[in-house]
Amino acid sequence: MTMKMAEERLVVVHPDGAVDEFFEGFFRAFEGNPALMNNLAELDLYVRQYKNVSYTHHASAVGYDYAGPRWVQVKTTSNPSTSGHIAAMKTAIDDLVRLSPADAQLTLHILRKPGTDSELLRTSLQDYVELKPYEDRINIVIEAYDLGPQ
Amino acid sequence: MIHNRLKFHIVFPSIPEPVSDVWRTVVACLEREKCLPEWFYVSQLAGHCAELKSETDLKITPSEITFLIETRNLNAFSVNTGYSTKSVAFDLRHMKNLGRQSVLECRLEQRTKAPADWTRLIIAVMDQWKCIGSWQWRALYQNWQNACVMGITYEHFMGVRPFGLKTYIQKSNDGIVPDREMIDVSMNPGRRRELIKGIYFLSSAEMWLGPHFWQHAKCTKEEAMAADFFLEVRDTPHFLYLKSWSEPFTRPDGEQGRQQQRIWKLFFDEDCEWPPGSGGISEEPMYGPPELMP
Repeated sequence: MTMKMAEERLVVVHPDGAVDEFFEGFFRAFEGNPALMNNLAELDLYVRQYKNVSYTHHASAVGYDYAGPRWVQVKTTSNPSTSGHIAAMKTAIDDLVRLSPADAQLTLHILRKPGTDSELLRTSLQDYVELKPYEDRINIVIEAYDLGPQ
Repeated sequence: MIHNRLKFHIVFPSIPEPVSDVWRTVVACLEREKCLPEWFYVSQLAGHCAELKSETDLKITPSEITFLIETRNLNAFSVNTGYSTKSVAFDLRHMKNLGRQSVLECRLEQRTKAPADWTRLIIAVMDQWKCIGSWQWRALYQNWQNACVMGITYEHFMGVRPFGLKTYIQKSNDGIVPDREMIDVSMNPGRRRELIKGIYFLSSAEMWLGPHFWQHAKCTKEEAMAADFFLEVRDTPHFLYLKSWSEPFTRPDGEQGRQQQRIWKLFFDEDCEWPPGSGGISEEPMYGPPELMP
């Protein structure tokens, strides 16, 4: 809801749902809200990495967040080794596959809390996608990202 | 840990309708085998129209799923009991922008309570819908033979990297995901082959080939029935059953490897080799997960 409000008031939203502006000051005002931080991370990542390489941000889409050369789903985790968080990432993979075109290149981009160990998450997800029909078209990116207070 | 459970997939030339009857058939099979979960998480993305799509899964009983499929007029479904070592998932999916061809498949884990054999389900489905085919296999062998990404855990799970293994670099198409080393599995005896987008043929020890399979093969049904290397050939009104090894394949070499070589030759006029780069089938077992070494 907050994200929608932000888009309506401060971000230029195209008819197809794509967002191409980012008003940093507004989002800084919401620091400390964990749910909003996840959305902020999604927007921040878009501006820092994806916007410059022809991606559009589909803030209100289900199952994916950016579309461009690849279809991208962004997820954040503060405890990457827990079974619940690993399961959530597998669900995110399933959703990404369900919502994207059948031949699309896919990325699950995971932002983990700095200082946490994501090796178990990485191997679990690699095992999960193995032999899936989409194995050769999905990449899993895991990077440390300061999620703010959790 | 990669498990070695018996898996299957059933492929259709179109969306099998009514979809709720496909689900009913799965439920009846699980019920008969006394392994029907009391509830499933149901995706509200799979098979849903745009207005009903939601990332929130429903947790409902098998009969409620039937009702859901019917009332929402779903053209696919995706249900699971989570992602633990005991969980199970069933998916009926089609290829969206690339066609209505559909696949029914399952996800099993190490300790999932599931039928020891999927034959009953396969036959029950193929008796109701005209299919391309069904295949049943052991997960570990297929995972090994079709592993196409050279990740950091490859040797841990799949054993020593074969000397002649051919790889190539898949370049990043956005500069964000890294380049990665891919494995050429195109000559592996246990490889899969895409018949049409998203629909795969496997050289499995048991195959049920439906009336829509033969348009994708380089041989006729009669030629397949006349082949002398199958252990069992059974023609039925809805499928041709072929058995080429007493158990699901576990090796790409020795007599098992040669049987798979005969399958590739018969159906697609294609060859195979093991180990990679050898140009033939090794008599001795070479490479692979330790669990699959004789």
